[in-house]
Amino acid sequence: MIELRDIHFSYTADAPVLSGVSFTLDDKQCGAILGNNGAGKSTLLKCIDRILRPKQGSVLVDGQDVFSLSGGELARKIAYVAQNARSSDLTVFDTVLLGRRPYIRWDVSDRDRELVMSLLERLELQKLMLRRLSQLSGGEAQKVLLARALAQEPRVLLLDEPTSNLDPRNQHEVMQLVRDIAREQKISVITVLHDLNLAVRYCDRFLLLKDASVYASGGAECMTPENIEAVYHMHVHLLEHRGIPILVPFPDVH
Amino acid sequence: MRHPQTDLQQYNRFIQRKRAALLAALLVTLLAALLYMGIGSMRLSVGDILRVLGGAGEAKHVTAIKNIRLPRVLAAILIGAVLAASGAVMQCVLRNPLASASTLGVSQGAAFGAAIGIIVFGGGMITNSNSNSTVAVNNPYTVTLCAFVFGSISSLVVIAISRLRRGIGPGGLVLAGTALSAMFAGGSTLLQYFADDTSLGAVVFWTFGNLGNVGWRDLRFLAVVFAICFVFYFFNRWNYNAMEAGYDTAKSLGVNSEALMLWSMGVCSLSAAAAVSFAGIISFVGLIAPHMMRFFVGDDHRFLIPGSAICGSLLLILADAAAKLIDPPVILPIGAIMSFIGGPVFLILLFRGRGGRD
Repeated sequence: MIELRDIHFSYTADAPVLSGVSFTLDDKQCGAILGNNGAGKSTLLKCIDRILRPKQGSVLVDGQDVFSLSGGELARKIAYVAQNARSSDLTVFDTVLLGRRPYIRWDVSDRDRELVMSLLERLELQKLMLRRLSQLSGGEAQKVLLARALAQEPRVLLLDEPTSNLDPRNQHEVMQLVRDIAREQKISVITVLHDLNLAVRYCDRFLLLKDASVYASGGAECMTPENIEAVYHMHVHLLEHRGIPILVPFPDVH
Repeated sequence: MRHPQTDLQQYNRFIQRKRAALLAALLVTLLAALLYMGIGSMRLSVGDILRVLGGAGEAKHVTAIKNIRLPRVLAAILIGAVLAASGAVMQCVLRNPLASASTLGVSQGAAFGAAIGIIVFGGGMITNSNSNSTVAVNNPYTVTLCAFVFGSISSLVVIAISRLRRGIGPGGLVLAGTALSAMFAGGSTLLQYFADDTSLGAVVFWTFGNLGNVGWRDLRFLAVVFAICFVFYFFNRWNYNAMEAGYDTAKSLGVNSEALMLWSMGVCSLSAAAAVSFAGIISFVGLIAPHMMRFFVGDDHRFLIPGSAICGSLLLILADAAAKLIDPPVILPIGAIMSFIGGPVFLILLFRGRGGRD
């Protein structure tokens, strides 16, 4: 379980990027951060993981304030997958093994290696384990980075646009995997998404950012056409097909 | 369920192969060192050398090995190892495949600092015997400290530029290094302008890069400095792997990226300063050795750092062997030989596109 309390952030004094963002997510839940380009979505994600230091506010994981933790302790609570993460030339196995970095004292243990192996099997990556990350397709690479994050055995998983640069099939595969993992591992997942249909289909809770602050947040009930129109400046219809919610945009209608 | 044990064994074999590659490189380097000690006006066989190292052998052989050839080959091993390992670390923390002490102006800064230490603070003595003139460093602490201060100035400028102008790219950073090199080379020239004729020749000769001035006492000092560097690099090998995935990812894995970069560049400057103080500027070994080793062990810093160190030692042994063999009995400056080999390799790296990696 993760709770964001009143997070403020700005690069310069007069232009707040985030002002007073709060959000709560239970275990097994998948939360989407939504909003236009420049709304502060990625910045919020980085603030949660202390990659950027918020000016004010706190983040609680299972009730514990994580900003007082050391870098290594924080990395055992929260894992982060950057957007378009740079490909390294490490092998798939070694990339996932890197997720054990917060636990390594002197060198990797057998348990670390076995955990990596079981994660690779869970994500069906074991055939690729000695390939270099830079040689993989976008979907495969994204799964490897997910595996690295899971190797941290975190309580919270942060994903910055995990489906960008993926073909449609891979987008759904990755999102299904993320949702399943949240339930299996009993962790909270917060993901920045641009695709509203992926968000309404795979996420349980939503945080709509507009002009540096929260426009709306909550469960599926807050994903109304009115809210979306206000945040994205675009008219939408919300339909349902075989129980799957679908947002149909009408960008020309005002 | 597939067979996890077999898969894990497959990975372990993969790791074993990398260890074997390092071991092979180490054996080749030791063999090269042995053969190298045979080269000179008095040719020695491997048997002669082994007998001397074992504590026996003819008196004149013992003199040649213990006074001249062994210190020289140890200097090549130590300086090559530390420059190459530092190059691998710089390439990682600056995320720049063209980084090394000499391409970023750190060595040139250190050379300027060392020249100040020798000429201004009297940390060294310029002796002029009838055969040749040499620079003898009689206070390694002063000289290395001065070299470290000015080498660090280059490092700090490079760090500042790479942080403030994120779009500068690997090539741009090297251009900044070129500017720094030019500035410090100018400074060194001005110092030489005020030096007298005999010391001028000596200082110019020293700046070429030369392993002949390193004595046993200097080697002990170098060994201590380099041991500190290697312990630091080795301790951070996992952090460097994390840095390869980007600053933000490294932070999310619990690595303090900024502190690691600053400390690493500081340690790299220290090692470059120590190397330059005793052997002058030896360019390109720090650039080339890590790239050569990546062919064999990849980007994994658990293996890349020791591998680069071994490769750097081997490169300097071979370069100094060439320096002795091209026109005997004249020993050409090893710095010139390395630059002659390194320049073209640098150009290949620049144009092969790896220069654009970020």
